[in-house]
Amino acid sequence: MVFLSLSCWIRSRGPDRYWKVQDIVKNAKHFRGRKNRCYKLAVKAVRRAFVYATKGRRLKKRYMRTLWISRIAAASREHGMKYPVLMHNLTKSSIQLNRHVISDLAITEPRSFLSLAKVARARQQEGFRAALGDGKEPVGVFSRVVLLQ
Amino acid sequence: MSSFSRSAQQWATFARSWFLIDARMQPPGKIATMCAIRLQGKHKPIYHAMSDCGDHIVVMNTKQIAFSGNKWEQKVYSSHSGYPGGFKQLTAAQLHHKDPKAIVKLSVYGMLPRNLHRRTMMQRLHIFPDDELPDDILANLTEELPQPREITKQLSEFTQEEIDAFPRLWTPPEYYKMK
Amino acid sequence: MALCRGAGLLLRTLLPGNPLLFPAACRTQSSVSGVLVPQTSLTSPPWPEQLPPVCEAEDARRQAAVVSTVNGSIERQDYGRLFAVVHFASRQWKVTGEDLILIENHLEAGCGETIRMEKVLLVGAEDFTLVGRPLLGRDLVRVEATVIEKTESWPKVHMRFWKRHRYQRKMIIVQPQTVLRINSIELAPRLS
Repeated sequence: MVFLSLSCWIRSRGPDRYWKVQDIVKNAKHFRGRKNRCYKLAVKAVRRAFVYATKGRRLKKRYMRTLWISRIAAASREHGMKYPVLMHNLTKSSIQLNRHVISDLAITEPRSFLSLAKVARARQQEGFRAALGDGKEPVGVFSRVVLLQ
Repeated sequence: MSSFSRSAQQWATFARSWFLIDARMQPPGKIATMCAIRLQGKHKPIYHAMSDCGDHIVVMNTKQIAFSGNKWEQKVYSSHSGYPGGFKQLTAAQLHHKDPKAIVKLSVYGMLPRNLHRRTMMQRLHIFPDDELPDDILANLTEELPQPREITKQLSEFTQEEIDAFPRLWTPPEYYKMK
Repeated sequence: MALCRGAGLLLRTLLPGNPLLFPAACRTQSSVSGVLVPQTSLTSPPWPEQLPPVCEAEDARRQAAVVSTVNGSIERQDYGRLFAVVHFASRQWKVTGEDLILIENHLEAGCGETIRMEKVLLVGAEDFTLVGRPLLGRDLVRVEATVIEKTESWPKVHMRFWKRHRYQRKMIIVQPQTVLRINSIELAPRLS
């Protein structure tokens, strides 16, 4: 379309279909192949791209969480502890840091992470002690250990 | 922090260390899990799949790996060349006889993620059938990893007194012939 | 048969701790004396055998020493740069002084106003870390921030599409955003 003057362009912006097409195609300018200029192909590709983007916004949260978990697992292994042990005992000692922050601490603040690991370790020992009691079999429970004694 | 020390920090963070594993009398699968974790860099808090932060692993004594059960005879390694009649099957014992590095290599390769980094990570795995390592690799080594399984004592290493003192399920009668 | 087995079990439960109940199991045929029980998952507990002994007086003494050391270091202000983990806008942020944080929501406070973040989960210094269970006290730590900018996010396209069902929905989502500047993280020597 040729617009000889600005006033002319404002008065008549051309057919609606043109702008509708442009609206779709402008999102496909960086696509590869004929998708970036042929409307029939572009409209499919753009729709797919938007659907992927919508799903990807949800998936990103999921993937980030797995990444944090694998990072925390690596860091807690350095201190001789497994990931579930660390997280369970942190929740038990009512420390409500989330995995994002804990993995950040593991990377940038290793000494703070070490103190968290120590807290979890202490809580674990405490739990073991409470569960074991005085080291004897509980009353009324029969097990192979009793038979051997 | 000045830019100089910042770059040094970056280099130190992503420096690769070299681990040594002695595979003598160890199950190959356990060796392979240790290798796969360290080749991917999953033992570091900075792990990211794209950041290429894996380490080097040197596995020695792969000639003396130990399968449990009847895997030496019954575990089958199959391959197909793609041509008609190109299907090959080897038992673990045959494969190990042909190439003492192959079993460890295949098990590590199977445990790595199936992506474009797989071959790159495999290049950081150095396998040696014996305990003779080249000098350039010896110079790089930083740490030896503990073996996943304790090496049990062989029957030939026991003294006769210890063998006699071993508990028996039943005492064979005198007329019993040991096979 | 089932009845038989049940009776046997009852008998055993009635007489616990008697190894000579079945004398056939204790034949002295083997040539070795000592424990002949094979190692199973029940022979040793899954936790380490020797738990370190607890001494409450010793623990209390250590805790008092740690608290007084940290309080002294806070009073002298020789802790270096602080960082804090604050819970704000339904997520947790690890912040330090002069940080900019972008919040995907509208805030009541106007631009230029200073707000105080009250949910502080953790404060770390060079030599000590204060971990809240779950939160740190309001009189212990004070994190202040200034609202710098209120904007909107770039338009995000929310598109749903089912193939062969003539179903297609398109929605443009623009979210209000707020930029905050962390001004200060202050500690008071009130640790107890």
